[in-house]
Amino acid sequence: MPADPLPAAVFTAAACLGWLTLGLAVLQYGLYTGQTVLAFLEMRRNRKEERRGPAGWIIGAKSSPGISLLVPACNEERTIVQNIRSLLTLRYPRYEIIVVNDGSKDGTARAVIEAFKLERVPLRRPHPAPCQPIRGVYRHRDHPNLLFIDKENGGKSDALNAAMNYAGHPLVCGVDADSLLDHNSLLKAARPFVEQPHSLIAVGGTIRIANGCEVHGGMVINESAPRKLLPLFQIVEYLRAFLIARLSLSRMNTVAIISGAFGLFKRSAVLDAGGYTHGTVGEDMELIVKLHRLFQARGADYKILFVPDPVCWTEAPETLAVLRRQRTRWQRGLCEVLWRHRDMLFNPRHGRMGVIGLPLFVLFDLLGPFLDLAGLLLIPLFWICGLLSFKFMAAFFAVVVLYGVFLSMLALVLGELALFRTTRKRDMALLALGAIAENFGYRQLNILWRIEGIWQFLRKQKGWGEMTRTGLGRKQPAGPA
Amino acid sequence: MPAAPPASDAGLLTIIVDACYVLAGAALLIWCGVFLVRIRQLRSAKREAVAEERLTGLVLDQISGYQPTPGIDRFGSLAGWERRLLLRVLRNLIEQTKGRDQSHLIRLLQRTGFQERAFIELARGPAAQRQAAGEILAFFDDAASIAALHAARHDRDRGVRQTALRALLAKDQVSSLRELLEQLDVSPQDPPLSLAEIFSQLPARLHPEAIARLEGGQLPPEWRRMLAIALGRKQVLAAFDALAALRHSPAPRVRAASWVALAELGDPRVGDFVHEGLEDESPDVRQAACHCAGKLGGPSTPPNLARRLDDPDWWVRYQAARALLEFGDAGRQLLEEHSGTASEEDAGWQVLHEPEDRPHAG
Repeated sequence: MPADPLPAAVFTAAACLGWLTLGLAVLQYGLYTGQTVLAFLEMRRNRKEERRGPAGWIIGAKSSPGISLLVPACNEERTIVQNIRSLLTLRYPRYEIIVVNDGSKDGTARAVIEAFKLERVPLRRPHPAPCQPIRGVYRHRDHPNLLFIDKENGGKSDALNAAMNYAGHPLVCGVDADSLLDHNSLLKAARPFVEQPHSLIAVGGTIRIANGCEVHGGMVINESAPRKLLPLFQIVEYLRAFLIARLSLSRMNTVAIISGAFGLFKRSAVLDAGGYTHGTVGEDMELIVKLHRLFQARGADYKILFVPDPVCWTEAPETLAVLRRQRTRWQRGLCEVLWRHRDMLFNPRHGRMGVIGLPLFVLFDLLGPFLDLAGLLLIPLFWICGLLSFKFMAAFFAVVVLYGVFLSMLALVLGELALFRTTRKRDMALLALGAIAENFGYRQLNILWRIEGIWQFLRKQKGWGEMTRTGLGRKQPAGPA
Repeated sequence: MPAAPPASDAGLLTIIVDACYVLAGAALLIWCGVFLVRIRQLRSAKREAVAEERLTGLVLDQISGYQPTPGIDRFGSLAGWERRLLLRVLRNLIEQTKGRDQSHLIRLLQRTGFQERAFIELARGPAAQRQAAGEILAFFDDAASIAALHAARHDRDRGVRQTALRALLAKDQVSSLRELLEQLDVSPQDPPLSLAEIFSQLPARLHPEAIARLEGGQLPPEWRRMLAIALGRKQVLAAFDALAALRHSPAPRVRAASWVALAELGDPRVGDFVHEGLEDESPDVRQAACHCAGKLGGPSTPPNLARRLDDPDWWVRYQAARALLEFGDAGRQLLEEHSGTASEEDAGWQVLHEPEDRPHAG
């Protein structure tokens, strides 16, 4: 018996759904295009500012603001000493390093105390930012700018709060213990505070991936693109996230995230906002949103900036399992922050942050994965069922893939213009290939991990998950220089 | 099933696909362009390094009078990028020499025509070169250089204007503070910290005007704050009354700056009224006043400071305790009476026990 032809309503419904998916994808990418244009404008403005004069004058200036580096460390026995040594060589006139051992179970505390010959000192400070009890404060008689705080475990935000309570300078800079700062990064990040000391409350810099680079003495001495695919894709992804998304948000004063790995803040502003929030894995975004909320409520003229050039290096996951844990955790953090501050969403009383900044996160990072997944599953399914033409499917994938290539290539261009670092033709070619290849599989995996992160948030899953790192500088680059 | 599914609007779909191809192709082309530009930059960086070395040699030859081919001006036909490099070479040479050697070098550069080149760049070069030329001419003290720097005060680029003004300020060639502030063109609400540096370089001739402006109240609060601290640090004793009057400012930051400046100034008359600052409503002002009281307070000050040991703000208590130690045994005794049996969290206990040399926020 011949099969009954499908009713016309099914075709109409499939067509509507198909066009809706395609239309939303085009809308999403249209917004990305707008962000890219803004990012280019902002980068041009930044470069103009830089041309006015070198940041180096701060070195000799009496009025340069002091910086306290806050370094939370938990089970970092293998890398902490080397990283502190590298922080001690930064180029900035007045800074101190406050390392907080967050109840490590390994020998982190012993390693630091022995390596730097620290002595216990009776130093106590009030705790305007809440934190777990302090077990002891240590320092070296001859190095007053290195302070080591040993405390009960309370998580990263708790350790940052403890360090903040002991900070002696007006600016504080959160730095991950497993990250490396560029030699001049503090100078470059402090420059906007020197130019706009009153209105600026926070500055974020670019996080770059050090996999494949040659690291010596805690410094990246030879930049090189990694030969492994996963870190290569992440380089393109980071450039897109920092140089397109954050740079454009910075232009609109709607920066909602300053990465926990490297961000410079006015200490008084962070304390006014109550310090870092406990019980969230998105403590960096949470703090920025709290700052926006606080200063909006005060009616203050304030700025939170992203400046591309101060660079912090980090090690990217090289296995799918670790990367998946990282991405699901980030997505959970985002969901937690958006949920906590849901009253700000689409609320004009919270200014641009309520109307532009947070809604963009909802669109791109919360709804975006579902939209992408729907398109990836439904459109081929409809084509197989004969509900949509091949041309339609080709159009959809052209939008997804070719537009992805377009954005990634522009991110590379921005990276070259803003950071100016690639010095080998082979690296440039590798990055271009990475920008194309990441659209075939890697981006789709990310969509799944994001949805998994949302699912974990809905199930109220907590915790950071284990992040396995090999340690920067322990490997040599695969190829010759 | 229909021959063509309903959602195959071929025209629109073709446009979408074509647009995507065009965008991706354009991005790839831009990347290729950047790739080529980058390669050129790497080559030019190498070329510049070689040229810089060559120019340094040529400059040293010229000022030492050595001419391998007499009668030929080896700097006459430099390309734009070479002129930029020449300015960098000159600035590096000047900055790397000190004292009498520097004066000698300046005279040689003047005699051998390099100063003239800086004049030409300051008048006609692009902004970065104008600024570099201004920085070089800042080392020359002759009338022509000063005239050129005066002309650069009206440059269209703010960087060049500020370079010229700083140079003229260092040479005591700025006629008035009002003119300086007008030409600096900095924000009244959020001035850069470089303004504090500029205020700290004010020559003595401009101090009376600075004091008058502090007293007159025409300056925005942030400028007053920076000027007050600069005058205090320079120990301009004539500014005492103006700085003391700032303690009545409605802005807490200005009041705090007044006490910081008075402490730096070192005039003991402040001891007569420092107790007013200790009772201020703003904790920042009370902290600054405690610091000032510690440095300059009179015999009646320690009991006032001891009262601050019970201040609601921890940092005021801490600063009061530090200030008490400045009064020697009498102050220490008061502090020990108050905090001798207190816990480690007590600010006084901290001051009695902690190491001295850490920065302290508050």
